[in-house]
Amino acid sequence: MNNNKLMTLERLGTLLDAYGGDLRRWPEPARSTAEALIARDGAARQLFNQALALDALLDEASAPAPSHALKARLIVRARPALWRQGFGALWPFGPAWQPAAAFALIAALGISLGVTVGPADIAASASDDVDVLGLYDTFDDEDLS
Amino acid sequence: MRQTSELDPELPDSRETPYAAHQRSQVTALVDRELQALPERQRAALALVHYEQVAAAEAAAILGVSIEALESLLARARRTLRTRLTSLKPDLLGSVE
Repeated sequence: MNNNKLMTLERLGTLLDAYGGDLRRWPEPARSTAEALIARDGAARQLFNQALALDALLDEASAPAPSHALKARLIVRARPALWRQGFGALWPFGPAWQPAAAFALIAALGISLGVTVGPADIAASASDDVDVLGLYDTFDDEDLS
Repeated sequence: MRQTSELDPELPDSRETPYAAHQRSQVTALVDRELQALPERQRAALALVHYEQVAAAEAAAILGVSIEALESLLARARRTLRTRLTSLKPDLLGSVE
């Protein structure tokens, strides 16, 4: 991804396909060039409006429930915070916002979807995270081709 | 005393007709079903970026993929949904304000 290039209609279409029409969801460096293209180009505006229409439909839906694998991913990502809380002196590496954000996200997913990520879930996920990650690597199938 | 709708903006609009409410619930059910039918990784990418509004870089890190791969997952998810929803209900993409 190169957001520093002049925004082309093709690149705008790619980003609208991925992130939709709400530019707050876009990578920040691409927003201003996208806005400029949408303002001056009718075809760009049409793509933008199509993306907004799909966004509105998605907003009508309930947020999809996180899979066990995704919850496990979030928990594994948050784990350094647990380590730092107990063993701060032994684990002084890495930015603090990442695990904090991951924990917040776990809570948000759990609350907004009516799914409780309780201690039992965390314990179960954490205990087999190596297996989960091993399986996860096998997900690199046609999705990423 | 404030009106109910001001107390809780999540409550349904009392001015919505039963027919409109029924239509809306049908749309919700349809989109829910198509979301569940997406491949897991595409659904996870959409859940993080669209519904939880996680920044792209963080969502990619959570999923363990590059930004390009995240964009590919998202684009496939959205294209699939657009195609499926349009084929099931051709007027749908113009029906939601």
